[in-house]
Amino acid sequence: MSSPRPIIGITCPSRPTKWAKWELDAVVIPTTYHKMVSRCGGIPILIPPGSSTEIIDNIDGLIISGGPDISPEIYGQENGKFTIETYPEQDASEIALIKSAIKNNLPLLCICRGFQLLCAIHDGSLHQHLPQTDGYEEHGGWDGNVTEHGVNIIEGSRLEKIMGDKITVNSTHHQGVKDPGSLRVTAFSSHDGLIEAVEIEKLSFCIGVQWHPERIEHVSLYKAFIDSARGS
Amino acid sequence: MIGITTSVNMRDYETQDQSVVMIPENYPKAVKEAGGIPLLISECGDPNELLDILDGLIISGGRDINPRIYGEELHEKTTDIDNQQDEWEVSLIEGAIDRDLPLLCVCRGHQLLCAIRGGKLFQHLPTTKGFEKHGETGGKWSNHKIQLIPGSLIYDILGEEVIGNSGHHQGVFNAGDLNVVGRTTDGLIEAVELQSCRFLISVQWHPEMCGHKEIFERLIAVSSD
Repeated sequence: MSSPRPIIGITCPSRPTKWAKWELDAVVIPTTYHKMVSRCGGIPILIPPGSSTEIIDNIDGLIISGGPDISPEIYGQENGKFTIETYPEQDASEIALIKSAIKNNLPLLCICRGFQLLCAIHDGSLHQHLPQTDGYEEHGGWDGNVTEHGVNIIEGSRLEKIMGDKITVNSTHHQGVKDPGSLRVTAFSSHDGLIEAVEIEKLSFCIGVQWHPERIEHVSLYKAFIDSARGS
Repeated sequence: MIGITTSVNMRDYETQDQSVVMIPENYPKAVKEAGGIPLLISECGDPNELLDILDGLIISGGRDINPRIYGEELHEKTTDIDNQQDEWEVSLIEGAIDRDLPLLCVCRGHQLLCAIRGGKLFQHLPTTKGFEKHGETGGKWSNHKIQLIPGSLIYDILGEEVIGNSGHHQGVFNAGDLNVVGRTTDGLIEAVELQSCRFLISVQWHPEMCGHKEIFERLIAVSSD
């Protein structure tokens, strides 16, 4: 008899969306997240924006998913010219969920936007538009385009134990982490040195990554996260 | 915790033509405002595992169901069907009824419930005699009155008459073994119940869009028992 499958909450954005022939506010998220969670042994449930932290008591692991830019106000900046769509309600509920997960040592995996938010609330800051940031102009794809690049992972980190020291990732973001704040950086882009991953070592599992492991075959990272959630 | 089913569609989202999970935000908002914790659930895995963790379930609106479920061929206006979604939601509905888990079915959910309980649908109301003027379709909405039947759960919650909205092109022709508890003046079946369940209400209109918060409050009250 195998142990019960852990329940994994996945946060979602909401935005004006075309639905059949009408347009309305809808919660939307790529199917890649819940499919990967299910494939790696978890029961995925989707958490809409505005959810209270009560949910934390009912799940075994939390994924803060990718999505729209976070409000620069969180890291003490004005909106840059390319930071257009922000969703303060989603920011607020995800910040509360991250804090509650950390406080309760609930396994936490932060992807892309989630990674940037994790850094921002630990006194970090972001580059608001990499294509116009010195040294990062050629970082990778954005605005719907996806490219690949190498990532070097720091020896001795949890991420290195899971994935090894050199990997290839997908890249589809126009913002990036400038300063990780109090978090430990565990990976950098091999071509330009951009921060690609962070972790909080004292927790049972808390990793943030800039890329989208659920869209490529990065099963090891999801499996390690879900194994940790099974134990919690 | 109240589960809400979602639909998978292809959309340009982050990257081109991506498979995405979608649900109008009105549903989780209505659950939250009524005091529940909304959880969105999506096709994958074992429906029983999901039912194990939920206190109540909403089968939401969406695309047409496959007419084969009620023994008919595809009408020319019945498009964009998804057999996998149909099967997954049928398992959820049957599992919820077996466990007597509080269940609210809306629009597509209402039609699917009726179909699997031995009922049938009209596949296109605008060309069905007697229902040509039922309401708007094709992305527009209209409102109409619905008479509710005394003695039913929904009558107890909403009273004898409510205004519901209409944006659907299919409708329930026969509700099988379910109790019909609400109709529009043209006679269309707008609400059904299974009175042996603690809470099973199924409606053609969208209570989450019409401010019918009393339905959600009762769903959550029964789910919390």
